[in-house]
Amino acid sequence: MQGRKIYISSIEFEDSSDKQWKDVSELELEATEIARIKESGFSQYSVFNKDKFEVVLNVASKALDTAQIRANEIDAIIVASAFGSSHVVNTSEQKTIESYFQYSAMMIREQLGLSCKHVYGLSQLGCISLHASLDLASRISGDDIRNVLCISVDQIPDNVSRYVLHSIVSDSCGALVTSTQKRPRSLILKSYDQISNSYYWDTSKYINKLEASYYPTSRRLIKNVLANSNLDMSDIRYIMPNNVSQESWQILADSLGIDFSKIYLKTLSEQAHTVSLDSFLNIKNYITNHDVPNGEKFMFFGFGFGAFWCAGIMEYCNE
Amino acid sequence: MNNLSIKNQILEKVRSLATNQISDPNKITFETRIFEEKTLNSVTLLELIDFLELELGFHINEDKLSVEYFESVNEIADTFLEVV
Repeated sequence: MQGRKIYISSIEFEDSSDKQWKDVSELELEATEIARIKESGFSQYSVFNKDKFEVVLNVASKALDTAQIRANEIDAIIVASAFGSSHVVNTSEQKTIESYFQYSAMMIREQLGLSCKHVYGLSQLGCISLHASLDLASRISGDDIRNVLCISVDQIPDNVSRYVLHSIVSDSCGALVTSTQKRPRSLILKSYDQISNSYYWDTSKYINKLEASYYPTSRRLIKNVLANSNLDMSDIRYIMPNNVSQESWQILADSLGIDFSKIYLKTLSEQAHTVSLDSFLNIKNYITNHDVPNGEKFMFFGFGFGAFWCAGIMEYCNE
Repeated sequence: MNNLSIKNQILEKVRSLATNQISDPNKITFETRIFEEKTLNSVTLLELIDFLELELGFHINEDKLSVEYFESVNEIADTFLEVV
């Protein structure tokens, strides 16, 4: 862990009213593919029913409220997205050169009344964008940057299939607040590790080879994270996975020699694959529905086209 | 154990892993493009890596876990053996 110890004091997502739910049977796919999707655990997915930046502002506000941190206490903002379209608001009908500088992070800063001078846009990391923003938050945190607002928003364009590598992708928005000071009922980021392999940068060309590399690299990363933290799987309450498919986690669990019940996949069926939010949806679901003891540890995991694998350890702080 | 012997062991392992994938695994040679010809898949690659590491004692760095280093038995040997 290269960065400073940080506490994640809020994890918030879009409201149900921000999106429309669709049954996977409605996807324009062959019946055999629909059947496979259902076998992989998916039942529905979601599509924003309002402007994504309106959703972002709501989610970010909720994150600040939950963290009980005022806007003027935020020292840095990180807006992460797999898609470039989330980084520019571009409300102008006429595409002038100025319109390409309408950065979403600055719009959020203005609308939420933030006063931070440190503003970052994080892109080109696919479905590990929010995980990577946590890593960045820990690396920039210090005496002058204490509280960081991390936001992730991804909306799949209308004309693009949501079916990719046996997964269904939902539109999604999430926000986290991190602090260097200890916070009650928070998650401590204990470690973060990432493997990047640019051989697969042209995803559409190498997608079959990428799929073959997915498991060996995922398995190695998970083992590395445990070894580097001097932990073994028995120290981890759950792996908080990406929602790419039940089948993929069954294969990975088998290859790691762990029971499938160790994989907390509670949000896959309803939420589908939410780009970079899956791990955080799963961990929030667990914390919300259980009496989590102080010190309980979780592993998060993400994978993004590009290609990137990331994983790390979080520990619950209930003091 | 010399390098040719090791290559033969890798070939035999690939053939055994390919049993469920292709009708005649014995047609697999040192040069066969393992993934382009769908001889192995994502799951059997895991088993091949286990074989290379646990039974042959190879050390495979994380940056070498990519399929590009497993394109054929020859490439596996070239990558993970010092001298072939």
